[in-house]
Amino acid sequence: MDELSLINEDSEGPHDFRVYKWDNSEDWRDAIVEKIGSKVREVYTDYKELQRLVEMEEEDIDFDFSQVNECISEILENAIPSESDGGVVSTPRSDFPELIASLCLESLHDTVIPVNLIEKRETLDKPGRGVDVLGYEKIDGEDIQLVLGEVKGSSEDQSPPQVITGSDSSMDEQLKDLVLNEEKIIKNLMSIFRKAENKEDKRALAQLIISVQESPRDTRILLCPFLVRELEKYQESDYHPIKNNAEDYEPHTLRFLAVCVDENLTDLSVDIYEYARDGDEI
Amino acid sequence: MSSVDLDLLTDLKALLQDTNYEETLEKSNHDHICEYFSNGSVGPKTMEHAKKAARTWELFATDALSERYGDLEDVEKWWEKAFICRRAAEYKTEEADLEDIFYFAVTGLVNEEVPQVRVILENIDLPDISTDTWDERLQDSIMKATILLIRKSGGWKDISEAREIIEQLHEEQREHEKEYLDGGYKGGIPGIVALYNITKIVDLSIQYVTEGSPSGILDKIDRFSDNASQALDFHNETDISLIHDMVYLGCKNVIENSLWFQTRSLATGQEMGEYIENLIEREDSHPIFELMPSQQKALSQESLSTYQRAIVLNMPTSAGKTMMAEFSIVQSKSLNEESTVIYLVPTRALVNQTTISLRRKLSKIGLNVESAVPAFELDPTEDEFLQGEIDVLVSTPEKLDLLLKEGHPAVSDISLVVADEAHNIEEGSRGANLELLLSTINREFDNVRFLLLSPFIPNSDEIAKWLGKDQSNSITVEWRATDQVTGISRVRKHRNGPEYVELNIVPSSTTRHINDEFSLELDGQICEEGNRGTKKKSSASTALNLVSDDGTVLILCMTRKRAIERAREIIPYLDRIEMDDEVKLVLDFVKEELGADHFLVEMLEKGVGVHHSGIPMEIRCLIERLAEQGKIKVLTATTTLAQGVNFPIKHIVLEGTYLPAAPPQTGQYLSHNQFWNIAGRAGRAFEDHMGGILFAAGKKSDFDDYKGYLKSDADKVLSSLRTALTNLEEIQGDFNLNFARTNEEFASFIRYILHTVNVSSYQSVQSNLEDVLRSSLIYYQLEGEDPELADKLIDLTKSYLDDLGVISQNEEIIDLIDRTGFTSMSVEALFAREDAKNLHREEVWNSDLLFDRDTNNLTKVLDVLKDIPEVDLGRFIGDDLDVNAISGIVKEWVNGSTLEEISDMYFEQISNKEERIIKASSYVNKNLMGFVSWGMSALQKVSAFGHDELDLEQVGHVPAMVFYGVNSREAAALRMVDVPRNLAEGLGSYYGDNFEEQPSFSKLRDWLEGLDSEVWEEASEFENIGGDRAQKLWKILNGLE
Repeated sequence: MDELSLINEDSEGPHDFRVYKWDNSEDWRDAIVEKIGSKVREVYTDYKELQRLVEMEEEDIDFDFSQVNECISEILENAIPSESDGGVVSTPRSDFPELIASLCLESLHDTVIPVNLIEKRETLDKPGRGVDVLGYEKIDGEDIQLVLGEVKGSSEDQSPPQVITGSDSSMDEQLKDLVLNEEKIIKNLMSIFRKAENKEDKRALAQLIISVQESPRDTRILLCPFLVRELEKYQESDYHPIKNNAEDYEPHTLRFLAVCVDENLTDLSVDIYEYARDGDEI
Repeated sequence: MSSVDLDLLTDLKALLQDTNYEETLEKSNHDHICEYFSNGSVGPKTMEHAKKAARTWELFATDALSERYGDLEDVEKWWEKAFICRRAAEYKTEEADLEDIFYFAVTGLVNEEVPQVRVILENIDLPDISTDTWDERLQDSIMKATILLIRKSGGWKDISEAREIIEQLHEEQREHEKEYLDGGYKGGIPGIVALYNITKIVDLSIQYVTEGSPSGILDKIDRFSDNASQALDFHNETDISLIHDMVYLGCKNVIENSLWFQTRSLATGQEMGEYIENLIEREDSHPIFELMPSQQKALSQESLSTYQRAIVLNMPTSAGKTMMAEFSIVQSKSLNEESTVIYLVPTRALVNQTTISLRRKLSKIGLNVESAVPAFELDPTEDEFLQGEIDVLVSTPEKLDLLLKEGHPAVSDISLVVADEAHNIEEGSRGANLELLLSTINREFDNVRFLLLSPFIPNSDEIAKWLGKDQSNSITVEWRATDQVTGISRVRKHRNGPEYVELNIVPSSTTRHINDEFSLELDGQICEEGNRGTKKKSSASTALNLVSDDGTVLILCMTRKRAIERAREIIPYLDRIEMDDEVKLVLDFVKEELGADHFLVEMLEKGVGVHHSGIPMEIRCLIERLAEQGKIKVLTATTTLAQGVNFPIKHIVLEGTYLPAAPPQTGQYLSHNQFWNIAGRAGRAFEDHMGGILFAAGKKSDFDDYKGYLKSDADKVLSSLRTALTNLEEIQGDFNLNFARTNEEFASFIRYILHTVNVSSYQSVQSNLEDVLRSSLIYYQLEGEDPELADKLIDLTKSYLDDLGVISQNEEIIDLIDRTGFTSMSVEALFAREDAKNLHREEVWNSDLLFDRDTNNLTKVLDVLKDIPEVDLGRFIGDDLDVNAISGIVKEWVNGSTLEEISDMYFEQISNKEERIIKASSYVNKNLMGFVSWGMSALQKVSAFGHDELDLEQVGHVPAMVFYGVNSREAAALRMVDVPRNLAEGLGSYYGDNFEEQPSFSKLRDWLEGLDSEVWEEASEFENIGGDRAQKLWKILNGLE
């Protein structure tokens, strides 16, 4: 990705820490807005589909769908704020950083992401039981390593931001949970295996499932903590909690990536939702 | 999924090859076997590995199935391996986890192991449903309801509970769903929508299994499954996605296995519809919700095709052959309401057992099931009773042969012949009888169909073609309801330590995923009797180690004496069982019949039974029933049990392979077919998930012999006549009594030829000899395989026809011979005897005189019969045939003496009392009931020939008195409906006045059922069994209870 320029590189033993600056050219911004805006629209479309499904089924499924319907309507309303609401979304949507993370991993490290979880993940506030990004990379042609991404976005002033450390849902704790929770990794792999659509991906995922099950400690797992950060608020100390405790994640290797955006993340999301709302086919 | 290459499966297989899953599979299976047979256990690590391996196989199999790639056979293997691992993990699991149990249940179902799954699930306390969040509650409820739908325990209990769980979800939805959504889980809505759809799949499946509706069920569950997939498609909730896959597969299987689904195209006639509805009725404690895979395979291979004249159905014991036969019976009756279905069983014991079982099910749809009394004679009362409307007649081949030869109306319109245990066609003279009977029916009934049932007839295609030519079908289903573990046991000793039983597990054709032999140590009791290194000690100790409160261990002994010895050696180590009313009743009956100090009394008190020909038939029936109810822990028996009964056992311990015989007969080794016929009974469907077939070895040198059996397959079934023909030297001189005596199989063949002459004509048989012979299996097999031997058969038949001489032209004589069931040589011999000439006088056969202890009429009769080859009067003491003694025994038997009394009177040379009783019982059962009554019946016919003064209507009931051991016509009639001897005489007097009003077996049974207990009390000659219990005893013996 030409838009990314490396602004900091660090390491701790086998663990890498890289921070990129996002080149805030007009073209690139448009592209991102369009890309994420389209995804928002897809979510919207999915929920429309779900709503249709529910309406169709209501009569013969024996469950009362009224609450579900209300909820779907609410989601649909919130998914794309109307003009009257000022089109403002108060917090950056998690979809956005995850999409960036996927794009970066694919372009910078040739990571294969068989199923884009952004399209599949829970769309609202339910604490995630899944992994943000799941992919694999080939090493030396044949061997493969599992790539697990934990993604956060932050506009906080403080460094390190709270999304990195300090709570159960912060990045460091989520990563530790992932490392310790072999079962969670396997279930995610199994689910992606069933959803993957090409043979190469299925084969790689099958290999990883077997490997994690047989010997999780011998399986090469690359943990990718990924932070999307406003450039002016970025400080090197952002990733220190991870770096200073890198041994907590061993035997796995860390690849910390941060992408700094020279823009207010909320503004960016407003543009994204505007794009989603004003799109031709919505 | 088009983008998935078909060779993905190859890649997945290659990946699996590099894992240690196969080792995990073998290890967990090994540990599971140890756990099952001893106190070993599947360790936590093995369990964990097993679960992981299982879910990988399950995942790949599910993916391959839903995306339609790969070879079905490979996928089936994955399911099977997953099941073996899951079984090891879930059997005796201490911490039952709902999700694990759910995966085990579905994997077992998909792997066609429903009976095993149901047995194991039965012993698991299902965990409670989660109350945490709505989505978790939905998931748990779905999994639990699916498990219950698969388990189907307690009649309708599980199914009802599954339904309640789903209804509960509907009721509590509003409250829990609101809590969930308000609790910040709105993002889980797609998952919730998916779960509602999955719930609907379970709900519909429950409805279909119980009601057979809605129609188009598979399309419906497909639709809800698609909806769930759509919802899950933008929802990364891994658990729901995997549960959805398994629920869909599980429910699809439940529906496809269901009785309704499998019989959709069968339920065309009213009878069939009613029969199917009755199988599943709510009042039934064992409703049939589903057909076993074996039954489904049989149906799919057109086991009910009415186009086929002959169908051979090979299915292992406990795989559900009887129900297939029932379907066929109901179908035949629907197509031809007036016709009779014949159900042939090989032994007298099975006639009763089968009649009871068929009557229980078929009477509900108005079909009258009766048995032809397994005596080789036709009593006038029975003759009359059989004139009534009979839909299904259960009979031995010999009795049916007699009825056919008599031209009895009960068998004049046969639409279907079901021959159970049809492999017996290769068993000596009885096999020849069956073969030639089927040949006869095939020749004489144009519209008859045949259904031959057997656990193994490797050449079933040939057998089917013999009877049906181009309209034949042979179906072989190898599916078993339980796993069978084969091995060899022996007693060993630890250095400076105690003795123990070492069980060497040996792979065989019935074991699964046991590649190498391995041994395990059983840590139960060791029988003190006998020395280490003897089969005796191994056998008793092995049985002691396998004894449990659940299921019977059978010790198969090579002689009757050893069967008793073994039981005796075992009882000191067992506690008295808790005796319910039925066990107490059986015990009291044994005391009445055999004496209070008889060995069986103490044995039964400890849950040990002995089963062989020296035990009276009724007591054997009661012991079988107790074994079926799990009240017999150890049953010692001889090989006669294998042919005589039709119930499976948990484990079988075999003491050897050589069957000794009393001279002049020679002993012989068990054939592979005999061995597998016995071994096949190990493991009871829906009761055990594993059965052991274990040889008890003395020395290590026994191992090779035993392994030979374990690794053998069943042999081709050959006509027993073929072996006889091969061994037959050229006929020298006439066909005479000596020929019939020394060539038992050919005596049957000669009778067959004579019968053919009787129904067609001598000239016709002569000119169409090859056609006549071609109806027989022997000729059918020889024609293609050994023309020289076929020619020998033709020559033999021609010789016999020539030898018939003048008789051949006398139709009346031919008819007479045919009706006696004797060879022409025997009848000629009877005619030739001077002392037989006065037997046409009615006073000779007057029962009062005949059985009077002070007359010698009976001795005269027996003297005439003693040289007839068909009538084996028995050399019961030494080598001499003592007609006076036999006459005495018959009289005592008829006049009500107990076996104990008879043994004291006539077997006093045997000093041991128990042995005396066994000998007496065996004699009565075999010679007296089997031959004396037949001989007398035949002799009456010969005597009446040309002498109108002998009215067979008047004296024809005499042979039945001998058969049943009673001295009145009424008592004999009551014995025909299973009234015990001690009640028959008393009730017979009472019945005498009502005799004419009960003109059928069913009316007689109704009459007995309606009698007050005072009448039973008054009639009873029992000392310790009162009226109510006497009636109950009769009901048990008659299958009414």
